[in-house]
Amino acid sequence: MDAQPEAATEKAAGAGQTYRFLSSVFRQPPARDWFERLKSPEISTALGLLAETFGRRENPAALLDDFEHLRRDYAELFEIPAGRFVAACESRYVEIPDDAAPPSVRMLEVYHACGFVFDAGTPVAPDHLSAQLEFLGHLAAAEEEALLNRDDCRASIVRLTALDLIDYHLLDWVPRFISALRAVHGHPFYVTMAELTGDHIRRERMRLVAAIEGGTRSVH
Amino acid sequence: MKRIEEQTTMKSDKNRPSPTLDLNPSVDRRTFLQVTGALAATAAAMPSLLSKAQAAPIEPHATPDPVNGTVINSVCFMCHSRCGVKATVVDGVLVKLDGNPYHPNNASPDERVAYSVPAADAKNVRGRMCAKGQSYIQTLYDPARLKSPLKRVGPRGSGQWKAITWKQALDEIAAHLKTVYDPKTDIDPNFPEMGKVSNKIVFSPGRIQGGNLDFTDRIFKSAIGTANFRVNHTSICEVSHHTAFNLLTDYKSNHFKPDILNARYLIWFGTSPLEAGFSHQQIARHVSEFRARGGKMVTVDPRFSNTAARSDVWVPVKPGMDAAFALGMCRWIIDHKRYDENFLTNTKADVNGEKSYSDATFLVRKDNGKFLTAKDASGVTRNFVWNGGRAWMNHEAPGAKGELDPGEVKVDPGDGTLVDCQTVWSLFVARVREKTVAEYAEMAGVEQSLIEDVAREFSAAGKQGVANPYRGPVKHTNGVYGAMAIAALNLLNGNYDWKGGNSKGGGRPHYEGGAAPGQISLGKVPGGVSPAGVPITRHSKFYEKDAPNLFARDGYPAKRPWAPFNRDWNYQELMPSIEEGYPYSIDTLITYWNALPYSTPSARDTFERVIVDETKVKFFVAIDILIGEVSKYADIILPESSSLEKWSFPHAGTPAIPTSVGNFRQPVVGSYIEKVISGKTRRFYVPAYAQGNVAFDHWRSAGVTSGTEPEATGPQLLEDILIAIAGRMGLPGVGPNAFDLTGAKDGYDWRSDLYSAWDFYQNGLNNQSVETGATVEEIIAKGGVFAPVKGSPSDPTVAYSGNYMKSQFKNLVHLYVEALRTTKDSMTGQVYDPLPKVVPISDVLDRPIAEDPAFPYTMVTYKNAYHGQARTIQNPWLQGIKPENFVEINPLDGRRLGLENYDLVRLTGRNGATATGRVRFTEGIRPGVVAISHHYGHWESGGNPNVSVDGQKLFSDPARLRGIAPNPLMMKDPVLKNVCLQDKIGGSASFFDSSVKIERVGA
Amino acid sequence: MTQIGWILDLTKCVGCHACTVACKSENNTAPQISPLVMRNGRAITVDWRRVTEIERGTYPKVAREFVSMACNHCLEPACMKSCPVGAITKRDKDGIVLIDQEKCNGCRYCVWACPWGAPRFSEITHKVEKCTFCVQRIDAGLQPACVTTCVGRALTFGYDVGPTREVPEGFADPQLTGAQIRFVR
Repeated sequence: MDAQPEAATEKAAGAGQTYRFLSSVFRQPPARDWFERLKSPEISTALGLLAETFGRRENPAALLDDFEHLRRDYAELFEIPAGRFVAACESRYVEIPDDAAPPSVRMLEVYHACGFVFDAGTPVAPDHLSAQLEFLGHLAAAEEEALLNRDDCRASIVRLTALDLIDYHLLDWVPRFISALRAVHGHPFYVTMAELTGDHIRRERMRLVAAIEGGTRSVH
Repeated sequence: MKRIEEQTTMKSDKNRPSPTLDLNPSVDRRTFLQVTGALAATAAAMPSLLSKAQAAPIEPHATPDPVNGTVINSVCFMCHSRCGVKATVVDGVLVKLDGNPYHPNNASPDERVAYSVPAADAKNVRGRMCAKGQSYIQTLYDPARLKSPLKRVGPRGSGQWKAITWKQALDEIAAHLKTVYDPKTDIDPNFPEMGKVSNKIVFSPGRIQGGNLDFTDRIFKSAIGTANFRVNHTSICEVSHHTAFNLLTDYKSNHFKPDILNARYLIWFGTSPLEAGFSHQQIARHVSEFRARGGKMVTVDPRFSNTAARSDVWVPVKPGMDAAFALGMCRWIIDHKRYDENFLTNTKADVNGEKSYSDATFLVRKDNGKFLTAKDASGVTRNFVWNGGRAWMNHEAPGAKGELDPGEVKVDPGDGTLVDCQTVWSLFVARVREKTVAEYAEMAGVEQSLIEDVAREFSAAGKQGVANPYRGPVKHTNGVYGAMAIAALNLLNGNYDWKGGNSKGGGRPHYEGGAAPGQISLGKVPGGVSPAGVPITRHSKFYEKDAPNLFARDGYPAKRPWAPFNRDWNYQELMPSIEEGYPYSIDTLITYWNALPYSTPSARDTFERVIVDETKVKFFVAIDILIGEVSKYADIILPESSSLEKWSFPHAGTPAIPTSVGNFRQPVVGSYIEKVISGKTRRFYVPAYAQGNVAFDHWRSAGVTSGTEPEATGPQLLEDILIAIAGRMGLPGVGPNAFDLTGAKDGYDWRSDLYSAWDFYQNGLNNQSVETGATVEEIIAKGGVFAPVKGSPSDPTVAYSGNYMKSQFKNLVHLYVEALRTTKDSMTGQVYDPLPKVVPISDVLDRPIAEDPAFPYTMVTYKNAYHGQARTIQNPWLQGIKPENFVEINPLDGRRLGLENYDLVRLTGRNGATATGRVRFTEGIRPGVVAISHHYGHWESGGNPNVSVDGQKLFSDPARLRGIAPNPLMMKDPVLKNVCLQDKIGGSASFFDSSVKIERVGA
Repeated sequence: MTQIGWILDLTKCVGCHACTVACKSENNTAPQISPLVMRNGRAITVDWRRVTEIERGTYPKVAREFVSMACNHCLEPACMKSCPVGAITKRDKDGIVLIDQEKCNGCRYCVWACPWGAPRFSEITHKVEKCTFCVQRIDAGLQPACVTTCVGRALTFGYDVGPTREVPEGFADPQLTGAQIRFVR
């Protein structure tokens, strides 16, 4: 149990909002108004502060040089399966044995088990990074809601689900995604956002482990 | 096409600072919540992924337009089956290949489109087509294809090239050839058999087909006059089989196939028509029909081939011991009098209900083993037979019958002498009875009952029981005897020319002329020459008779073996003979479609040693579509068009088709330059990836024609390349008056001049038309002319005449080969045995090869249905079916070697060569035998990443190098040392007599 | 509604893989041009039709069977039920099952659900493709490419071919989804 219930709630809320933001970065091509919004004083300051919480001095907003450049890079990196293509899906990076379900299927099962039905209005696979981040965001929101309702049991279950996804998938896969992005010289904004995702997930893992009653899972 | 990049995966960065458990102290929790809230708000436009979906109707996956597009019927060349191909072209791009629905290889008689149906009406009818042929489109558009003539930079084989113009390439080649070309002067006046200096120019097309070969013969044989005008690959294919049947038929037919559609019992000896052979897909289909009709089938093969899988009986014979199995069957059939006595006692053709006949009743002299013969009143040489207590000339014997075994008889052949004679039959029976069935079974490594059962059922099928050999039994040092033993089975059943029996096939119309009045000779070159002397590979030449001075110098053994009975070329002897300069040294090597070191047993080291030696091969030009295992070493490579951009008249070739097949191959893509020269429109073909035409460039610079067309670049037609070279050299056979049109039928567009390939093929088309009655336009539209030109292909009278094949051999088939009894082997000085027998695997001095316990596994090779030999690995559709081949062994052997399935193993041949591959266990192989398919394990062919032109790396596909190539591991002849084991009678390379060692190198 | 379906004569299939390539050629499935891309020893290909070889027995009594298999255009397609985005539909007029490439999100649930592994995930488009019965040819009154090319004349097609009685070893129960293939032996 977290010593300070209020703090725990706020942490979950903050985590959820961070997930939601990061998810949106990878979800779809940048829109011009989104791009301008990110460069606004309010948001760029927020972005700088977020980075600062991970010990980064540089404000990622400073990397937003040119909208067309960012848009083109997004397309080359995540949309067109050609030379620089770096899929934001786990299945790109793992061998799937013939008798095993692919990660996308496993993710669908996870979503289903947690009461979510996966929808794809956009061509995003269930194991796409943004889907998983959104899902973690939903879990954090559910955690927050449980904490507000003083339902510690429910909060623990939700935390365990999130921890499972992080432990068995993202902790291993996000670094691969980052190095793949670096290898093809992806736009520094996306590289940084991927790094922030990694940072956030690692911190989330620690938060979840600490928050889960008994803290029996080893941290490594 | 999109390329998937391999992603490098890395573990998380260790240098990054560990995130603290709590927030960075500079950002308090409340601020953080505001910060993330503001950021999350930017995601407001993001659609949620976790909500309900809606269903709606859909459009199908986009696919090529099935009916719009130009259809061109042509002939495939992904293997040697010479099936028809129907190309669909949209906007000048080849989009689909199917079978030509008019072609008997692509459609069975009951589904084939009648030749009288106009091509436009058959546009949407597809013939059948195997996997290889359909993927030919990927060879045409292979990114590894050469787009420019290349000249080597640095030493031969260094992989460093510079692009040069066609003009420079052809000027340099013509200039060098002029220094060698001399069809008048002897190489050595002391050895006239070496022929003229022109013999030092060697043209070696690995594979070349009808039309193309007539053209290259025109240049190399008739214009340059070299005896080495076409050193092709047939001796590494199946020449011992051809040689055996040539010997058995007095060179009248080298190939028979069963009439599968009507046979009742088939034995495939070392051939798998469901996977290979030609015409693979047609025979495979007919085998399926045969089995559906209830036909029974036996496959004799140490490997459980797909054909064995569809057979009623699999005989996992010991490699090289097919003759033992066949002679064991002969023994049982003779002992049980199950042979066809009516057939065997006939003394001439077309009598007593039979069309062909045998020499069973012919009398053989005891003194010299020759047939007892004499000239009849009209001067024709006749054989003697015995009937009713006296000898007769075979054509006069009462009832056209002779006795099979009158015992030893004394005969006066007409000169007053009495000669002791025996019949062929008595000699054959004595030979067969040298061993019991049990002994034959022991040698063949099979159960005695298997021989007896197969013999019983085979003989019970009578005329509709056929045994067919191909490479398996003949690619051994004893190959001809294997084929002769199997051929004897067919004589015992008397199945030649019978419906459902052994068929010589329907033949083909003669595009080259000489068969019908009104045709012209495509080969005759006014002002041309005839080559003199022996070819460097010494095939078709008798050591003592044809090389008396060399024989006087060297005696026995000759320095290298001669192959007098082989009417093809002795391909495996080419590089070793060049190395030793025997019978003479050469100057220039020109190759075409050649993969010698990949395809020839144990040839890689010899080839690579000789080809880089500029004293042995002074000048080397390769004509190729990509940089292959041979062209890698060339001084100049000339890029050639693919066979989808080519004219040819590929011989139908296979006797499996009972009706006549006149193939016409034509370009399916590309364009033409048309010019009027000497009153006729000349078509100069511009292949895909090319502009201009080299022959046109030549005649333009010679002032014969003019135009502003660009100079030739890119791949060009073989014929046009040779026209441009011959034109530069001033050779006969090209340009004005290149054909003799005497007797040419009126009403055709005959060409007396040869300015471009088209002039040549126009004349060939005219010849096909004159002989068949089909118009030239029809032949072009339908990709050839296929009997029946009128009427229905399903009408049985098209292929059959009552109970017989319509196309009949109607001639003599021997049990006894006199020429073997009278010809001395060039290495031993001894005559050969005239009868089939079981011979051990031997070296060139006839000494049996001792087994070496260090190399315990006999290696055999085979072909998958979805690959040809050396020229299919570039097609990714085929690569994808099986990206690499395996070292296939019985699990018993695998366990003995401590292997797990799919372990990595190293194979070592007795020649010291090694190769690695993955082992695959299969119950479908005889223990002690290892099988490796022959298509994989290339080291060039567009797979080598270290080839550059003008400093730029060429395209390469590393997947083409996958798998293991068996041929370089094969055994060398222990006497000659620079060549594989050989069948000296067949003049052919041994493929299945080599053993290997297998060692595990990894998982 | 009539229902289209395959008829495969197991005695006539010669195991030549011509149908595999005919399908690739007709439908331009990957790889279309060299080089063949390999990943971890596996070729990156998308084969809507494949031929499986099944070997049984012990030397020298061995048997080998070939089964050419594409989508069986089931009466009750498991893939269609499994698809979370409604990309898979079954045509009313002939029961051909199709995957809308615009809608497919590449989740591979159908790959998992199909008892015969007919849906193929493309590592190139990151979507799932499968045999369309050459719907463009069917609609033009022509036969599917695999049928027109079948070397052994083993593969044909028909309407309402009915449930198969004969099933090769290892083949899932056709009743599971109403697979439209009839084996003949």
